[in-house]
Amino acid sequence: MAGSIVVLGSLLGVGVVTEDLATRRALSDLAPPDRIIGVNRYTQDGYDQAESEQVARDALQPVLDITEPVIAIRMYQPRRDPFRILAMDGAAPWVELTAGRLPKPCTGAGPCEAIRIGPFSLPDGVGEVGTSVEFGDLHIDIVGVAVPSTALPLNVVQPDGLALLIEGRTGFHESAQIQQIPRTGFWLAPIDPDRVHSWTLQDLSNRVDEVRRILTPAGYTYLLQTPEATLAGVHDRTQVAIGRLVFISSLIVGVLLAFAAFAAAIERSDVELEDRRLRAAGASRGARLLFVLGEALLPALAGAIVGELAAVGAVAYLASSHGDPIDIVLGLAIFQPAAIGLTALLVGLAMLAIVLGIHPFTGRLLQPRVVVAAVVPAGLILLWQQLTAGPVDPAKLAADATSPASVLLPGALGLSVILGSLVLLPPLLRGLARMTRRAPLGLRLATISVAREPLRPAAVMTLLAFSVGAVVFGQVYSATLRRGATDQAAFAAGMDVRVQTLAAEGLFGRKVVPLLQAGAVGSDVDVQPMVRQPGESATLRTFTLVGIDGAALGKLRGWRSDFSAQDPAALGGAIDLPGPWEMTGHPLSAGARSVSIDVTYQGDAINLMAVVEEADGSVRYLGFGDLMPGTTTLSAPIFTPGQLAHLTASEPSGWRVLGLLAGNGGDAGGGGPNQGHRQEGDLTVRGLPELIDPAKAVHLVVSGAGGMFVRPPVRTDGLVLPAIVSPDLAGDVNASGVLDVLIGSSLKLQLHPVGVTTLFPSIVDPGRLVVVDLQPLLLAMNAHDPGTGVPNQVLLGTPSDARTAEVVAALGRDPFPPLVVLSRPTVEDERANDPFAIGIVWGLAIGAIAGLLLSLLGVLLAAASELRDERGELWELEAQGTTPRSLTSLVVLRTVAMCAVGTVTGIVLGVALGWFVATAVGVGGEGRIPVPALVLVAPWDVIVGIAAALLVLIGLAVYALTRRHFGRPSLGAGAR
Amino acid sequence: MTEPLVRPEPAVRASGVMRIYPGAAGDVAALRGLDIEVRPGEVVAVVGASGSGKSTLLRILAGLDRPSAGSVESLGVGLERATERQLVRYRNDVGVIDQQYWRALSPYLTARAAIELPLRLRGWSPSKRATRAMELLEQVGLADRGDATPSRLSGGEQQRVAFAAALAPRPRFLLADEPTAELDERTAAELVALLQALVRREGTTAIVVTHDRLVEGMADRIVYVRDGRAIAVRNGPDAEAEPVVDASGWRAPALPPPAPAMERVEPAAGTVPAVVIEQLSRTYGSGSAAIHAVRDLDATFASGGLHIVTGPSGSGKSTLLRLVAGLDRPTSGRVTTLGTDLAGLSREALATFRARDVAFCPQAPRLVPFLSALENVELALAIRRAGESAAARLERARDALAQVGLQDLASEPPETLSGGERVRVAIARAVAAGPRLLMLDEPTAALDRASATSLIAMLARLDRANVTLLVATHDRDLIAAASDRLDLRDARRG
Repeated sequence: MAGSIVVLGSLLGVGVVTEDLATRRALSDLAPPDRIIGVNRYTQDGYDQAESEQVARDALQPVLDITEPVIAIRMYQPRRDPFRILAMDGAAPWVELTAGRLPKPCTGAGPCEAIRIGPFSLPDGVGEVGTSVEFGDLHIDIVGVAVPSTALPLNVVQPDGLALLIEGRTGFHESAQIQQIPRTGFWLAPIDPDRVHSWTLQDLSNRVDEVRRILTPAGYTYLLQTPEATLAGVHDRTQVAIGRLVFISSLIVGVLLAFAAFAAAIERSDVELEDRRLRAAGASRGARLLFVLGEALLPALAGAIVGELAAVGAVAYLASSHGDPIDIVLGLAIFQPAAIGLTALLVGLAMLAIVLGIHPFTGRLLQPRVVVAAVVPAGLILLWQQLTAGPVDPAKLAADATSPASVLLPGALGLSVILGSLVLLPPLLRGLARMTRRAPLGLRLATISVAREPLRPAAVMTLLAFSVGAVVFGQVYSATLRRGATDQAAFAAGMDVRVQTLAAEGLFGRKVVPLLQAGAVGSDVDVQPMVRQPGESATLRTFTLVGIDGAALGKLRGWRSDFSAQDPAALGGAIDLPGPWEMTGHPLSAGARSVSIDVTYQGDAINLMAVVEEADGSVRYLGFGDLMPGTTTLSAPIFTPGQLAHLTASEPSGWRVLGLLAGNGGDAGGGGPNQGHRQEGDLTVRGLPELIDPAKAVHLVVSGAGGMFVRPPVRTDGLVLPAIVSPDLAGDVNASGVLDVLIGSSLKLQLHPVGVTTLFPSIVDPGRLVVVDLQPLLLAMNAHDPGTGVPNQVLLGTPSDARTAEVVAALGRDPFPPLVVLSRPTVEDERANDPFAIGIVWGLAIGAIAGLLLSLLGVLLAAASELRDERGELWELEAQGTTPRSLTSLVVLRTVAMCAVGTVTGIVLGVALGWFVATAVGVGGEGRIPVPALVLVAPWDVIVGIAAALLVLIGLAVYALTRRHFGRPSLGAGAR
Repeated sequence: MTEPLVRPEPAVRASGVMRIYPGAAGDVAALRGLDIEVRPGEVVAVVGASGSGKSTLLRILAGLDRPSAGSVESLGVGLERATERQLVRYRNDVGVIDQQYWRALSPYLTARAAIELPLRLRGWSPSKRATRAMELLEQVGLADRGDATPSRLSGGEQQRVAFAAALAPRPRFLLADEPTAELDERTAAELVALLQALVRREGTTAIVVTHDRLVEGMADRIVYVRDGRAIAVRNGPDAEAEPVVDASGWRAPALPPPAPAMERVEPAAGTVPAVVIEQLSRTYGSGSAAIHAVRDLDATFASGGLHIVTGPSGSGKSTLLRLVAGLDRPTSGRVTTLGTDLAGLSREALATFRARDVAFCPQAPRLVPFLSALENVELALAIRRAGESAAARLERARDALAQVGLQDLASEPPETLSGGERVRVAIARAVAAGPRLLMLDEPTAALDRASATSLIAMLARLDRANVTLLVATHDRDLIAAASDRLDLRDARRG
């Protein structure tokens, strides 16, 4: 009982501390934008700036004592300029300078200085150090480049395009012209993780409500940003993890109840004799029941008190070691009404277990009362579950911390199993003993001895089954979680590192990917670019389209054999299409400043542009203007005058014209009533012989926003791409075996499923998948919409974890822009060090240790009490001539045999329970539904080792005990 | 309208009582239409052979069991249909004395607390309880032992405390099951006198199940029971037994003739002694708490014949037998059994020695409850005669059971056998392997006269030349049949 309460109390304490730790860690781990309570307001000008300042600061007042000081940023959004100006006071701590210097404070009187945020300037050189921009009537010199420090909540501001940061917000005097510029004011209060606890989340929520209440009368232009959703997610996760802890503690409690019933069964004969005496002495039924209840209540209560005190000590230690206030943690873990109720319930269950163990009626086979006692508690709990939380559903169990079934059912089922085995095992053992007449004498005596008082061996076997079951469950579940963490990390990372960007994907694909492919993080790193795009099948099933080099599939560390029946390398081979996969282009001469073509045209005033691919793959559109009937030379400048100033004579180099883009022109292209009307014409082009046959006229037809891309045919036109698809998509093919899909909003592809998979590494979002070869996909995308076919994700494979760490570090430095980097070892480490995972592993460890100790203690107790109670039988056997050596063998043999049966049953129980929890309930150690799903891992070497060690230990201990008994020179007085 | 449960005289009226228990080989009828009537204040002795249903009758009359058929009205309560609550109330008017007195007393309660317990259960005030307990302790001669727990009391003293506890609440009806069976003659006589005085003084109605003539002597009436029916009644010790004639005119068969005088069993002449005891002492504990079970004993038992060790309870009879069997080691002195000095044998060698030559049947033998009588005997043979085939062992076991007259009950498990039958199975188990020395500890204590007589006759049939019988007993008939007798009371004095 004491053990139960200590375990339960400690686990509740672990739960509270874990929840708090997880809450704080979740807040600490959150990117600054995600843990900010912020107010922002967009205004068309700066006339009510002072009022905005006052309202925002007043509104944030209720949360100021749990946040860091308010950071105020103003973002000017000039209507025509391709940049944003950020103004803040004391910017130095929030940025890491990568070039130049920090700007001097800007007052608005005279030229100002700024630094560029981010490594990339605009294509025409705007944003380079040494250049200037005009901001209203203010001249701004760019004096440096910086990346935002991780602590900077600049991401909240999310400037799109080029962002320039000036020092000075409150001291910045706006000219009348600047006052006309639209702007957004940000007042950001990052939550201090050390000032928020799991038990103050409600208080935090109340404070946020107060902020909202203050802001509401100020108008809808004030927007409030809070981390409530994030914290709610943490809270939900916490509840699930605590649910697992409660579940584990419930299992342990089940073991301890089994021990209570077992210990009671040992005392049963004494109680039975006492009951007989009372009955003969004229005791009423009530008095006898009171006696039995007293026998149960006193140890249960005494145990509860001792356990409660020990639990208080354990939880206090736990709280203090984690820096949590002891009184609050104790109040939440031990002294909260639910915990007290649970303790009372435990005392009740223990009493029931003891009463059932010691009461004489448990010896009779299938007495209605026994059946009722076994079935009713489980039935009541299931009924309670049905009424309060609906039917028992693994998914619900996974998400629900306080479901009666998850809290109480294991214990109640345990009790039922105990009673069942206590009822069923005795006749089985007796039957076995009668069948051994021809067996060797030692074995025969052992089975007879077991069957003579079968209740006790039955109790021992049941206890061992439960204890070993808990140990095995602990091992299996721990191993499963460890494997799950490894699988999830490898899956999330794909290979060793997954790199994405928060910024424009084109920038990532054309700048970062080439850097990586050029060996910027080392030549030993395997770089596998990928494309991820949303798609939809003709049957309206949505999916994620993945483009990856077919040869890379065999290198994916996150691949698991249960994803697909086929080998990943074979799947990769099936989708792999040999190249080249490039668009034909007309090269521009080095140093070209314009693109010129001779055209003959007949038709509507269609607008025409040249599609030019730069050396890095980016695309720019050069306008020729609207086509007019007749023959003429069209010319389009490649650069603006400002850009020209920064070009050398040989630039550009390696640029190509990919084709012509025709769109609505004339009165169909402006904002007039004919906008988007169908226009047609016939165009003959000279000067782009690689692209357009000068001898043939191209018939142009345009309408609406989508123009007509005039280009030569590419290999993907009409090509059916081999693809790996999700199972249900495989069934969506048409009669020709082709799956028609739509990528993005307008790219149509035809696919031929060559393999099926349920999951694909790095695609952690649940849903359907289509995987095709990367290069054909990029070509198809570019041929449809030039410049869109670029990788938006890269998987990196490294030779070792050490190299992985180096690569991750390198990705955080220049020349790389801020990237989203996810590394397998880091994820694995995070999973393993998640407070919930640690809490659960601790819970399992406590359970395993409690189980092992109890089983050892139980067996020794049983062996000792059997030797005591069977003194008479053993004495008679020796009196009849059985040698002490044979009797020693008998006792050891029967104990080890019983324990072996109990141990094997326990292993089966533990593995089955592990399977249920791992696969049916399926929650990872950190309380999330894992992707990929957990796979049961039974560490047989450890399990068999523990079982063998346990049996050997038991054998040795019982041998020592028995030798002590039979080692005396004589039997002594013997038993009466 | 239901019949009222409360009726006037007689105190007990049992009519056509049947009690059937399920057995391994079918149902076993312990009572087969037993009729008995007891008047208020009357003391009735119920006498019968082992398995005749005496103890079953007592359990039913105590309200601890219910008849399968027939009616039992006791103290105005119809026991066959009384509710549990009525039975509890009824049991408040009944005192029960068990044959196994050590089981009747909680090991944790002092003599005074044990006497007070039934009073407490009946709601007596503490002062009344104390007065009554003191009064009874004085009456049973244990006024100065009130604070002693059972472990500090002798067997006779424990039985006295059990008597006092049963009589404490002044029960209107006293039931005693062989109250003297496990006591020596002198202690038994003292207790019978005590019981008689207590019962008479309190005016208690009593039924005493017994096969002790001393107890029969104190009864107003003796009812003879056989095969679950009352067959004869004797109105006082000196009156003639009259066969029972029931309402239908059925006349019970005549009582069996009294047991014949037992044949004296003589040892074979001219052989070496079976057992030689020299200056033998066995002391348990030390210092002032030391118990000298056997002290400076010299004795010789010749080979063959029946040798008796007798003496009052606690005189060391059982200890001596264990020392002779090598089941205990002497504190000093020497035991030579069948020519072997036991001191020279290890515990291992002693076991082998016993397996070969010595059989020991303890006072309360333990049989394997779920094995049949035959299997119990065969199991003992498997220990002693490991080389024999299972079939041969079974054959030998059947012979042994036939020797003790249990061939018809060979397939019954011990739990369906009477106490006496269980003892006979244990003796069959002991003799089956043909030991040279057979030791029996109080073999007739739980047997009725007829069973005891047949047991002694069986012992007499053993091969006297090759089997030496050493029996600890205070059974006068058995003592009378012995070749010689070692009275430990005399030996101690000497």
